[in-house]
Amino acid sequence: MKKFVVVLLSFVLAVMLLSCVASADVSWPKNVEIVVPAGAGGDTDFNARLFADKLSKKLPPNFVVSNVNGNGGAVGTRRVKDAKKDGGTVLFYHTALLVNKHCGTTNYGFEEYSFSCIGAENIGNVLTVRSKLGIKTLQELYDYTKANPNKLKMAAQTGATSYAIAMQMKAAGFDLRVVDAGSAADRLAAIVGGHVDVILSAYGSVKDYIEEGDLIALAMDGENDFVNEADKIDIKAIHNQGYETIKLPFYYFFAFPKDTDPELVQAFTEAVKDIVENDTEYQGKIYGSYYQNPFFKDTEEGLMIYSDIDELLGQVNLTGKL
Amino acid sequence: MSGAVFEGLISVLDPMTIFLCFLGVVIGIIFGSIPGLTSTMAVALCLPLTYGMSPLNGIAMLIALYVGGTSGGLISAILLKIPGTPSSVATTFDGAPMAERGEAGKALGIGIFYSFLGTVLSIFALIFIAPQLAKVALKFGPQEYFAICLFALTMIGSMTGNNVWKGLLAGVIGITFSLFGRASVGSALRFTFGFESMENGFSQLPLMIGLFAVAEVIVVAAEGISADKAQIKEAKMRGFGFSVKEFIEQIPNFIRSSLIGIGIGILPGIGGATSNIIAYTVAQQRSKHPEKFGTGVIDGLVASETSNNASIGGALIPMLTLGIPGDTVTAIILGGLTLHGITPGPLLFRNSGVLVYGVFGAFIISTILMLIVEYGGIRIFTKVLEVPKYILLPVVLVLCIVGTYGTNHDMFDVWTALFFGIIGYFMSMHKFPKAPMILGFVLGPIVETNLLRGLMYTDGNFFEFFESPIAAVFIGISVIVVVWTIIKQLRKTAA
Amino acid sequence: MGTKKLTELIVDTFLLLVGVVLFISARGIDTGTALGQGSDFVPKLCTGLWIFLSVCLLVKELRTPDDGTKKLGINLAVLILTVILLFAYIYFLNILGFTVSSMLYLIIQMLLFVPAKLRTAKNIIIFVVLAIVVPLAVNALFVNAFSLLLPEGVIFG
Repeated sequence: MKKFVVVLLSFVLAVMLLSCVASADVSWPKNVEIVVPAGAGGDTDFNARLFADKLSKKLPPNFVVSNVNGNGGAVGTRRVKDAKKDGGTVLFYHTALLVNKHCGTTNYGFEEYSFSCIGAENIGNVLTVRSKLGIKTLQELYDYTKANPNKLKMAAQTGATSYAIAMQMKAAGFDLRVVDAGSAADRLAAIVGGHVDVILSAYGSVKDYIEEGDLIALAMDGENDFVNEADKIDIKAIHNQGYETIKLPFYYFFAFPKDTDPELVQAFTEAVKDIVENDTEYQGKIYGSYYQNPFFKDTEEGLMIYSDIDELLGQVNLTGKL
Repeated sequence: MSGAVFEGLISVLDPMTIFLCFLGVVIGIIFGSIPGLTSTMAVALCLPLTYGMSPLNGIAMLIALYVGGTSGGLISAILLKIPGTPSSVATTFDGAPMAERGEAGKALGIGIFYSFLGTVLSIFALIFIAPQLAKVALKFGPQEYFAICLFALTMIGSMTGNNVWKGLLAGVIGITFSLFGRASVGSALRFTFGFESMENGFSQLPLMIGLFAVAEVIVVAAEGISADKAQIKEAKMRGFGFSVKEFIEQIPNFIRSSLIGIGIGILPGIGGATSNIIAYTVAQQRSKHPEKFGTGVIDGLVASETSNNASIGGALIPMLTLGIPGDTVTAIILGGLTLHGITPGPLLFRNSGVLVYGVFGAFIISTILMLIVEYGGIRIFTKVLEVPKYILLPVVLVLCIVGTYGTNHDMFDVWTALFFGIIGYFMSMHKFPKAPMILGFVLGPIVETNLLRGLMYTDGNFFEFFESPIAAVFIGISVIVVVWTIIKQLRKTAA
Repeated sequence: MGTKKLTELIVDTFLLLVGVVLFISARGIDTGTALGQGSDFVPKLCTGLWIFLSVCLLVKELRTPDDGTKKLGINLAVLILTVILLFAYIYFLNILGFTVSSMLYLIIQMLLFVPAKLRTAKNIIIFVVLAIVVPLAVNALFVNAFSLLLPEGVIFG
């Protein structure tokens, strides 16, 4: 009888232990580094830091942003791709990862990572022209370039998202001369100084110039129209104005190194989802600074969206000579 | 309008704002004075701290960090012969020899005072003629940038010291190293020898840390430290360390260096790291005793420290008037404004006038606080000289590792520092001047990028460059300087 | 030949060789993608100048008179050990982590640097204390206060 009780107790103990192991909590490292392949102060950095702050309160680790700039983001994306798979490193970046691949700067896409989710959407850049040209709509721009081929200079940064859009526009028939003019700040200086005629720019940077009448906003280069009744903004997306092949949706994503513990990735994804959908302070901040609306897509949907963008980018030649 | 000015300037007299300026200046000076840590790093690290503050307080702190960080570089430049930040490279040329002669206090006093004056002059420019200056800066397209930076590069010719070939070669080596990696125009891979890690090229900060700090460690290892150091007598210091007569003598130098600093600061993409070397070289060329530069004359010190601080105001001008950042720090400050819902542009003064003038006020207060804190700390700083080198240098090196790694979190940068440390060692031992290499490295990419861009704009026609008066003038002067230097050298060898 | 002149000639020749290698590498540079015009132009120009200038330098050095000194003038042992130490320090940053690597570096470097006369027990104790305290303080300040992650090792972190 005694022996039977001992065996029974051991069995119960074993079952209990096993079930503990089976439903074990994710083992998080103490610090998780969010690698941001962009400089401090920009929109990508801002979104990342906001998430870092919120995630640190939700999950056990301390989330810290590391800016790893260089080569259009390739240095940072490469680093996470080759990082340890213990959950201590996660990438926060955007569509540029695919642009890098198509431009030949890198040779990998999302298949080299454990994708987590899309955490935010950038409203995209505004296609802007100098008002002195007298062009007021996208159609007028098209007609002007057809009448004056290779005359208008459009500024882009080789290997970056602005370059992809420029190439899409050329492929769609806009007869522009695409010139390299460096970073967003350089391109803004170039157009304000009259050295180029067309640029793609964040809305905030050109807001005052539009109000003053120096620059004209023609269209948005992303997925959606940009409409804000309070501030009297109504700019339609390029692809909604009859040019369906010109668009580059701009989503921010999180991705871990390939083969990171799936449960860890899942817990992380859920935490991000909770922040995006329920944290009103987060939602207020992203709108107040960059006019962003909360946007979340989980692992599967996120990868599908990026697969579509990958296909879109594949339709234009981003590597060869003109 | 004047209501906004008054209201703005008064708004900084809030105890919290003043405290944040003070904190920013102190942290900035600490970061600036430690080789490897920079004002850029300080601003980037403190940016998240400003999220919860009011826009004025947040920006005030960031500007205070910038002011303190730029000025703090002179401390280690003078005391350790290692520039604390890239903006203080030229300060080592004359500041360090002065310290070795026992005049550390005097050198510090002069450096601090002229940092202050340089900043003040740029604040005047910022407040009174910012929009006009910004408009002029906008006229600078690739052709003009190319021409001006080409001219600045020809300065290398006058930095060559005794052996002109060594100086020129150092400059060309610097330019060549700057080309490594993926080309910014054209994206071709250059000199990477198949290494993925080389694709981003060498970064400026690791290069400087390597050339100065790591190299110094290796040099000291080679030369050894003598047990009975000759006691360097610290000369007594009165006031700021210089006389009224010296002050008056330096006025032309000071004004010229400020203008150089402001001018270079306004042009986006070029800043304090370039202006200090240029101002120093120009001061040397215009001086009645150019051969004394490098031995410990105050002219060089004045030129360097005035211009690098004047560049701060210069860099803020395009940011506040046009929404175009002048350098990395102003780019971060711009981000700081955006996250508070304020996007700078030409209407900033109109829409947020009170804030803008509040920012000016914070700038003024930070500058005054910088003067007070640094001057008050001179006695503490000179105590650093009493720490034995065999302790001080290894500790400085460890901090340099933090700075090198901390900027981009890339081990490649740390290896870069070691690589250039070895190069810097050989340069020191074989009397290759370092300034040309740095100037070449910093300006090389700007010259190349703008040459290629300019050619893109003119459809390959270089002669169209001369259609711009500014470009034509500077290219012309560059050619004349180069030809004249060659003639001078040929005469010397013939003699 | 005196050591000074010999080392100068070695350095100058080495520079010339590096210049040649880079020039050859420059010839293989692609002219660049669509927007680019001649990513190869400036590299070829610069490496060409490099070769020209190093030849001039070499010629000048060959012409200067020899001063005939045979002494090396530097502490070769400490120099080589320091360079090896620096290599090792950086190499171990990612293996042992910043804190431990820095501790090891500091103590060894200070011992290497301190002049023989001052290698007293008292000083060594100071070195050890500093070698332990400084990395810990730096770690506390940057990682904990400023959230700036430093290399974490595989072993200690």
